[in-house]
Amino acid sequence: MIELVLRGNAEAFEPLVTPYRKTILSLAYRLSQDREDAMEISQDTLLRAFRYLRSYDKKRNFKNWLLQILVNVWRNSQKKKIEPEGLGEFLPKSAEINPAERHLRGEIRSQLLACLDGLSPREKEVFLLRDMEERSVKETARILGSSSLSVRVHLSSARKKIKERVKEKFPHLLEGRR
Amino acid sequence: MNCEKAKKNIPLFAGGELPERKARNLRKHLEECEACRKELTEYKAALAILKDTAHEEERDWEESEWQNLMKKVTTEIIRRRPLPFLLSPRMAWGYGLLLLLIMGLAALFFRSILRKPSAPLLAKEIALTQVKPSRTFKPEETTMSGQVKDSPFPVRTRRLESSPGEVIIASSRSPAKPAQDQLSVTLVSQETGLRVYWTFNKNFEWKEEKQ
Repeated sequence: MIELVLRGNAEAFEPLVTPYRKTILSLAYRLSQDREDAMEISQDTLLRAFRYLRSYDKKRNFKNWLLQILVNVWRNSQKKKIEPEGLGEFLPKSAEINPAERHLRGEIRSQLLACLDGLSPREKEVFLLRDMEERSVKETARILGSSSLSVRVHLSSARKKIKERVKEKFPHLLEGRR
Repeated sequence: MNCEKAKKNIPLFAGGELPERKARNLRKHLEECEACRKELTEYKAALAILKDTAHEEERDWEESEWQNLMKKVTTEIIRRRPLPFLLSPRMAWGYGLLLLLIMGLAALFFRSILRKPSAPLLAKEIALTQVKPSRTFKPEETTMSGQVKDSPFPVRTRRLESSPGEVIIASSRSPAKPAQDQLSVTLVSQETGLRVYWTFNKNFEWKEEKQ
């Protein structure tokens, strides 16, 4: 399929990326927490995937390769954005979301997003790839271009923060699970 | 293992990333410590909630958005479609050289057609012209010796039968005579009576006299 695309067969690209369309958009949305940004990141990811398809190592998992592009696109988009305040990392972004959109997302989505708000960008990347996308520690490290040790450290702190948030905001959910 | 150390390891243990040696120690501690067991349960529950929520809230594209994106990518694919090898830019050098070669050959071909025939070489013309000799030697004269008429030098002459009708006079030094270092040739025009003397020295330098 990849060979077909490289030979200029435009129709072959869609079946190549369709299995990952949900994953790409969902991860982009969880990272950016904004629908428009998520669309932009996803589009950019797929365009880049096509542009760099020639350099794709066929021994590698295609999904992981796509996720690596996505994370890089997200990081670049983050650099372009100007942080409003120094405390930006720990400020809940839900305040920026307009009420209509919040209503549309529903309670469950808000819960998830609210829990991710307190994570640093690296913790968020590690947590989403390892716990949401279920990539191994090694795969996560490769996607993020870091070491397994670094992934473990960030994963541990991310889980700690999330558990505290869930416990603080939704104690009834934890009680129900015990 | 104490509780402080256990609490550091529980987040990774909850997801199964803790190395086996540490995990074994933690399991031992968990058997004895209810607070840490509770902590672990909370971690596992929080992760499970988030995973479930993640699956529920998984986003998908609006079909029209997806199709638009695919259209956009497809357009780029077509724009970047590699040219066939024979049309690729790397062949430009080859085609340029081939064109120059063809032009060169064409120039040579047309030049040879359009060029006026050059005048034949004089020597060639002379060689091809059948001239009736003014005097022919008789067979008995085939070899003769003596002094060439009007020549101031003693020369042995003999006729060479290289071709019929052509007279070539070869000269050689007579063994009895002293060494000759000059040669004179006299040309006489039968029509005008003009005489031209060519005198060559041993270095083949020559001078011409006309009478």
